[in-house]
Amino acid sequence: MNDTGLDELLRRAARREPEALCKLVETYSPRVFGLLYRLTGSRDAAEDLLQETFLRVVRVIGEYRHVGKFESWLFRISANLARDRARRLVRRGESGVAERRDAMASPGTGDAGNPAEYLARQEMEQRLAACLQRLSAAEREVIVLRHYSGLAFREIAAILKIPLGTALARAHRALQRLRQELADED
Amino acid sequence: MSDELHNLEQTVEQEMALLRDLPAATPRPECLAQVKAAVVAEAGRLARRRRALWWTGTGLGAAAAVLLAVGWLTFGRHARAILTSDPDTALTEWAAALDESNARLASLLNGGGMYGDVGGDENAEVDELFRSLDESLRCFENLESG
Repeated sequence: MNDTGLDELLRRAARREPEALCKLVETYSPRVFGLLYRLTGSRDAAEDLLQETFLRVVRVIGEYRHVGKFESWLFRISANLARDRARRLVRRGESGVAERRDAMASPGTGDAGNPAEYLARQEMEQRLAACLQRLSAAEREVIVLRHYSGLAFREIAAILKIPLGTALARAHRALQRLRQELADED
Repeated sequence: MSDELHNLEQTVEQEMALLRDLPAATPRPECLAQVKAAVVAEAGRLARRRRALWWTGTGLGAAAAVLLAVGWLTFGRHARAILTSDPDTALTEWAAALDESNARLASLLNGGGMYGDVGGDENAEVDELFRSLDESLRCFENLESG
């Protein structure tokens, strides 16, 4: 979506026009869901948080000023909701291990293609997803945000309220660990 | 941005290719439909709430306007009474009425009319005294409102 189209869409969404709000959901749901799914490790939790994210958008979009990137604002809401949920789980003493197992399964749409290639890709996806879940929450958060939001590390650092150097160091460490985990499995 | 940070960012961006194989997670169609329905319902709820707040605000505004109007009319009447009464005149009238009343009371007491039987003249004197007292009080009220 170009900037002009997005401007108009956001103006209409700010007036809480149902069509505009539904268009926002359609446009951003896949990326927001991807982020939430990788952060929570649970499809159910990701779907709940997806709904909560857009409900929050409806409630506060009147206060939103479109000067930066809309994605930055949207993904901040999602990331904060995922963090709040993680804190609640920690307080309740739930580790979310079962959910992490859930996250190892591919949530994709199941694009078939060549069966052998499909199986190989499925296996790689599952290994990657499993290794991702073994990272610390902070490490996972920064690389998953970069992957799904498409935002620059500078913007991600602003969302997470950490210095750019910290965000980059965290991402670097996370990716090294991920590579190591994948190599250990081979 | 320092060169060191810039280089680190370049390195990390290249390493991010590792996530290339991470599947694109998509919400189920029924979930998407549910989110849209929830969003539209929330927008409707907020619109109804805004309308209710508008009506409440308008109602409170109208009530405040009525109270102001009533208050102004009441105060206005009082103000008109003050404006039409000349304080100097009222004070003079009250002092004169009080003097007259006192004089009649003294005259009656000196004549003993208040303590014993009184004749027709004395009765008339007493009536006159009370009339003077009434007038004195009326003048005092005027003075107070002025």
